[in-house]
Amino acid sequence: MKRLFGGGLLLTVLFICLGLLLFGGAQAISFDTFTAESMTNSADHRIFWLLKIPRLLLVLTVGGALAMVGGTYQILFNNSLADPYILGVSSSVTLGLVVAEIFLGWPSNSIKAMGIGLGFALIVILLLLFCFYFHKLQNMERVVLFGVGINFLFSSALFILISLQNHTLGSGSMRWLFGNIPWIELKESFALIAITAPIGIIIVIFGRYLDGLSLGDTVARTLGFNPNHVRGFYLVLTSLLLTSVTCLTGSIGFIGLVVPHCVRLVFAPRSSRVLLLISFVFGALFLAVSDTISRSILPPLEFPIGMVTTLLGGPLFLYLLWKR
Amino acid sequence: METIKPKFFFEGNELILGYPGVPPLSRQAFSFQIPHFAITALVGLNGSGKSTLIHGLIGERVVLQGQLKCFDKPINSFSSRELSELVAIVPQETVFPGNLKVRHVLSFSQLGRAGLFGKLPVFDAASIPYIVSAMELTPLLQKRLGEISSGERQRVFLARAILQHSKIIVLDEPTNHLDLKASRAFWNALTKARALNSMDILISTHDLNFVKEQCDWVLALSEGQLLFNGTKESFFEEKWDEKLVDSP
Amino acid sequence: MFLLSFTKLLVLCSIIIGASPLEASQKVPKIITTSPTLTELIFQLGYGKTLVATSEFSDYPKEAKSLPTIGSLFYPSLEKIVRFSPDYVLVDSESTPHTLVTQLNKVKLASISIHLRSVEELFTSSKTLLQEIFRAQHLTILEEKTKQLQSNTKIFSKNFRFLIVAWISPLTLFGNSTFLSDLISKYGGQNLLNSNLQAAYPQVSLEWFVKNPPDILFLLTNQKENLDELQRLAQKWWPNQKVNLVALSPDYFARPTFTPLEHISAILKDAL
Repeated sequence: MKRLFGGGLLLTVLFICLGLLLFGGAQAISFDTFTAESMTNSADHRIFWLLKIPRLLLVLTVGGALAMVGGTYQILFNNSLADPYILGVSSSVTLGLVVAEIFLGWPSNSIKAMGIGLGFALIVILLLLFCFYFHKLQNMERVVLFGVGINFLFSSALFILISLQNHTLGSGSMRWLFGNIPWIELKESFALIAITAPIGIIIVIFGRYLDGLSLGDTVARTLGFNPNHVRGFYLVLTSLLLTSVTCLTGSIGFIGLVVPHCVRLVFAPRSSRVLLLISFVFGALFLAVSDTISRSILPPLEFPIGMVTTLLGGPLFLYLLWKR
Repeated sequence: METIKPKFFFEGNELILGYPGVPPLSRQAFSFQIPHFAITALVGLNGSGKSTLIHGLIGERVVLQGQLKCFDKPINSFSSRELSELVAIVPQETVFPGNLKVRHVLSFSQLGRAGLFGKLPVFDAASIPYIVSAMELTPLLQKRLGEISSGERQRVFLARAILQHSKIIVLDEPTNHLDLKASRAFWNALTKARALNSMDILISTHDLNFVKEQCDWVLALSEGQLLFNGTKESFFEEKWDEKLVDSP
Repeated sequence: MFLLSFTKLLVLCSIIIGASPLEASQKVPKIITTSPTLTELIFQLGYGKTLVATSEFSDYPKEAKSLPTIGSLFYPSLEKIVRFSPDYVLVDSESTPHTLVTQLNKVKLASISIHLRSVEELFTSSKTLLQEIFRAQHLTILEEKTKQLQSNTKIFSKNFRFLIVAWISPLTLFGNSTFLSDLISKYGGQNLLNSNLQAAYPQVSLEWFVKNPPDILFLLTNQKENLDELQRLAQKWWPNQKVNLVALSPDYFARPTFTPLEHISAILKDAL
């Protein structure tokens, strides 16, 4: 009974949020304008279909993906402070995009630049796998430390490159540090979903592997799992997911770390699959709400999304911890 | 004289154990056999190779030389699925996510059998296996692992291992970090469990009182070498317990 | 009014804190500029010969290219500045890092912060420079420029709404507190961005952009691809409105000196 009530409440909140996101915000569209026939060619119609819907799809996908990857890493590395950026894959993508823009002149939202970003990421993924499998004693801790090192290295390189870029009027830098939600077209948002949905589904389906890992490697072996294979498998999947997301938005902090944690604190899900699914939903909502807020504080100004997620998420997280 | 030779559930031939990349504890090979249906104690000082042997039993690559067999089959010939039906372990330090509820931990016991798409058992007020209530874990079902004491946690992990319904249960120094009361509760639980399910038990322990009271067979190691392999009675009669303490 | 006194106060303070003031009007002061804008401005005021060093990429006018450099716009080098032992170091209030002023004070070098956020400030700062630093006898050059500006702007009587695009993606516009925006508004333009917005280069939401088509859309670029892309976007977002797309070359319009004043009239004549 309690579960039904909780589920119903959740769905209602979801719909309210989605409604607010689509119809509200700084550029509100009233509902009758939406349904009126005369809207076919007006600015409102254009705004709705060509701007708001793709952006909403993007934001839901990215927020959900980040939360899922964060939750997965917290289990894989058995560390509740793990976030999606711990392995340095995202910073390699960002570095690739900036390098493409500065040295090759390709704008960072072009496919060519994303190709460079993907290339950098693949190099890092291969390095991580090599680091993992090469030594006779396969040790995840070493991989994490290696990833942290790569993260530092690439972030520093990124900072240096941005600082040297003194010709621009300074707008480019912020988004690489805090992430940025671009205005994309409908077909681009579908492309993103087409890439991320299969990976996300596989991650959830194989969630039993994560359950096997959650009691430690020794127990995992007796439950029929090879911990090293599971880790390698998830490493590749999550890195691919992160790469596709970071190519579009850069590194948005906080969601991957905080959302799965909150889900665990509040819901105590019965399995990793449930944890990842709930994390996806809440991550998506959280980012969507943050995005609307970032555009509504001082319209038409758009605040960097990473700032908003941190300012929103920080107190929320502390409150939940304190309550427990 | 026994006419029927007891089948060995666990045996090693000309073994040298060690972790890859690390020099082995001893260059001299040893062999041992452990009979079926016994509670076997694995004793030895710290660093004598007890944990390594146990990890070998669950399929890790620690056999540098020789062969480790389980029910006459080499361990590395078992598939992961077969291994999960064969062995359940209560390891020395269990990594645990503090927010996981006890009843979910217990349902993970069937992960090996359920695979990816099988159904996992649900343990709530409606369906509690006898072993859970026998081990007095019923009031803990809804609690999270981080909320219960370490003694209660060890019993939870024991219950999880038992609920795996495997042929062998291995316990790696299970009462190491427990006080006397919690230790006693744990051994009581283990005894009850054994009474209910007949399975082979291998316990690595320092608690020689428990060995004396409850175990049937003893395997003693020292510095990667076999010190003793035989019944409990001969272990104590021949004063191997003292020799163990005196060993280098 | 306040701006004028404030600028004067700033200049006087810097001089008092700093080194020995100018004695006779014959002595040529040694000036170092820390931004290409300031370099060009000094040349335009006729005192290019006083410059001993400039910041990197001071390409305008051509004569400035041969001057020695003291570091880049965001990273000026204190050591190089000190080596020239200048009488005054001109600091651009928008771009030079503020730490440089502190460092200059520590080594007892006079620094002057120049504000060029509007056309008024351009004239005020130029006047202060001419009077206090160069001890110019007459301000004819300024008077000429003022007259020229007045006569240019008189021709344009029509009011029009405009936006200036700095960056297409993410969409970044010139705010009201920028020189370029102020200059264009002198010609009857109204920047569609809210004047309450303090930011100089705000990143704006595309939704707002779609709902607010201007009469003229300026883009600061040399490259045809950028103009084409903006053209494509304008057709997509405002299919029913006529929006004039005008490219402003960074060679002429990127620096808040007298250069934009000379070129803007011709551009606006074509556009309107």
